[in-house]
Amino acid sequence: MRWKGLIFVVVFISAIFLLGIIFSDSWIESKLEDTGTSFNGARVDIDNLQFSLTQLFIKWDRLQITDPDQTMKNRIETGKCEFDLEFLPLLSNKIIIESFMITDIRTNTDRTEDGAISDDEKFKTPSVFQETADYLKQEVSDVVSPRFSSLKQNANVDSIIKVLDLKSISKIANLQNEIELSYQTWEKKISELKIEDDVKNVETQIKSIDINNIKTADQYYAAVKNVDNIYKTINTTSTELTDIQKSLTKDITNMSSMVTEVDDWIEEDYKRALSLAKIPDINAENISKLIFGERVVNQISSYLGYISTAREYTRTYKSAKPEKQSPPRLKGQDIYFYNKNARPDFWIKKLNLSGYTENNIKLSGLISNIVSDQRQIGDNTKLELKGNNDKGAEVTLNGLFDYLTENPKENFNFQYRGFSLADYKISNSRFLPNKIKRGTGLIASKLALESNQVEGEIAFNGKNLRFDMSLPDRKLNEIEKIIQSALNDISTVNFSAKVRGTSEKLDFLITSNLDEILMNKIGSIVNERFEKAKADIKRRVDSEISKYRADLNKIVSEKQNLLQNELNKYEKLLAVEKNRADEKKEEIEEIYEKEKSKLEDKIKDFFKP
Amino acid sequence: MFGIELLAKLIKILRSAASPHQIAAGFVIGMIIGLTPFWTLHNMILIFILIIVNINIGTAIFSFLLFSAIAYLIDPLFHSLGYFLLVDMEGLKDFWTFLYNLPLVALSRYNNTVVIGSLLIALILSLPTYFLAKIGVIYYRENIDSRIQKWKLIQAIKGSKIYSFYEKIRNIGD
Repeated sequence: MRWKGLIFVVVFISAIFLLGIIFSDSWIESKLEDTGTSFNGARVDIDNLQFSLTQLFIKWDRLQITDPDQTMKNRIETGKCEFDLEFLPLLSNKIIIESFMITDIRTNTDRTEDGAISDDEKFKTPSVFQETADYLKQEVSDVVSPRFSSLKQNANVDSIIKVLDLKSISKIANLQNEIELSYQTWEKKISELKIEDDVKNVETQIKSIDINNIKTADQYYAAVKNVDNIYKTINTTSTELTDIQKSLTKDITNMSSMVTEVDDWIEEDYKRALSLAKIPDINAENISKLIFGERVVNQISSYLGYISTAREYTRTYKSAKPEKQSPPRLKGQDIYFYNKNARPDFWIKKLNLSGYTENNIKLSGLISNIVSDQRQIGDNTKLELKGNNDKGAEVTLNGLFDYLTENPKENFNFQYRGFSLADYKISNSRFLPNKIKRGTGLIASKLALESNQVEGEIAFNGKNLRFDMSLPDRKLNEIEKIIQSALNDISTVNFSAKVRGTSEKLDFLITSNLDEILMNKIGSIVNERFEKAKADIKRRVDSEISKYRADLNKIVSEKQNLLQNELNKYEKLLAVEKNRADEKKEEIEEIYEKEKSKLEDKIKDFFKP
Repeated sequence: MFGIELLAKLIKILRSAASPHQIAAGFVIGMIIGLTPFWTLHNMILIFILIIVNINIGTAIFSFLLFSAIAYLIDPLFHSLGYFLLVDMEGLKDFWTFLYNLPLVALSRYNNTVVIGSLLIALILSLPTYFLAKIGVIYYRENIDSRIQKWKLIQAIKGSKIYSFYEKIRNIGD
């Protein structure tokens, strides 16, 4: 035993304990800030965190969560917070918090310094709904094409065709080669047929049967046998010809169906030309997407982002057999072992929230059971938040994260009614006036998810509206002018957005009362110009491809006729020889009948008395 | 240069006053700490044992450095073995689940594939390594040491002033 060593260990442990007491606050604070920042995608700052090892509590004076979309703003800022940790679960590596109170929450507050972080610092998790969010963004960006903002829609068809590299031309050439090769094979096959030789043999055989020389029964028998052989040869050749006919018809059908694909290729080229020209379809639905799409999609995407994170986190806990990962060296993979009767690894039983929104709405609410594995507590995570202000605005938010069963489910209901729209921006679109002077609004949204199925609805209703028509710094284009003049007479704006389906098949629809109004005003002007450009491109694509297409059709029909004629010729030859054989057979039968009647007469005479 | 220093250190340890048992035990403890991820409960306990009990610390450090490098190289093997033990072996699942919720044991990070995989290999190797190391030390002292001392390199080192200084100070603090 080394006594000096023992003393060293005792001193070392004491020093660690002492340092822990001194530095644990800043250590935990920076750890929590780093984890929060990485999850949030922008800085999370905690002020003056205090941790008591003896009393097991954590408290802080202020928490700021930066809005990742506007990094000089906090999405949420809190006042003082405090919570107690249970001691015994800590020994089992579990964090259980009975009650956690966050007071003085404020939303959308200003930051003193930028809360942006680099991409490397962001937590990267494969989003379950990434494809859905991407699809929605694509739907909106397809409509908001840069060219739409300008009505000078004179598509430069020459340069488009030059850049386009019409794929159908090379595809048609390939098909033409393929078809020619196939016809060459057929030509060779048909030329190798010995039908003409067979026909000549048959003809010689038929001619060799001399009816006048049939005198005896043996001669008759030999002639009949010859005719039978001729029939056999004709039948065999005919069957061979029929088989070839069938096979050729099948090949021709295949080739014809390949030729019909040419239309699809040309259509693809046309669509690519349109997309290069950036010419959108203008209809009522697209107008809604143009004006409200971006905002709606951002809202849905951020909901889906939170849900993806929640699901990704709980997925580790729910998997019966975790997938083998490839962690960095010496890091390994932590395996979770589920025990229904054990306490969860992480559990905040009650999280009480209270505070104010930027519109001075007093908020209060409760999030219950923020837990690592819901199955261990037999309950799901619920969120209830409500608030109001003295001007009659009310807000409620209810949410449910249900991970008790195999299929994860989430449900959100959000209602914000009676709020003032003064200075409110109902759309980020440049086509709507920047702000509203006065009006009241209602937003109601619902989102329900089960597995990868999404069903959501966002409705907005703005009443007694007066738009701020002061001109922006830049010059308005023609569309913006038309929209702004139409909005002068509008006092109500409603829109409803619906999204439904899975990432593979998603329906996304936005309708609003502005659709018809604006469609009538701008649709005819815009469509007339865009339709002309579309027609130009269509005409040009068709003219570029028509020569190749015509060549292809010509080759197909020429070769087809050639082969068919060849086969018909053989068919006719065979038919002629068959007729001859029939005639010969009839002659033989006639002779037979004659000889038979002669013989019968002789027999009768012989027996006459 | 590092290789020569390491060799010199090893020779120094082998020629020290420590018993073969102390050297072998130090070597095994260093091996376990080196093969398994450092910040684990069992390593902390082993370090305290190393400090408190009369085991050769120099050998442990040498062995720790050696096996840390080996551990880095064969880490994927540890991960696969750990995954096999923790996930694929259905029969052990109840046992692991029991440990997962057991106070203090849960802090040992045994549920990490590399920790459990490397620990198992280290434990399997510890007994044979101990006996091999012990036999090796005895064999060295009896058969090899006298020959090595005759090497010109060793003579040169021993003749240097630095070595004389080391000889003077090496027993201070024992």
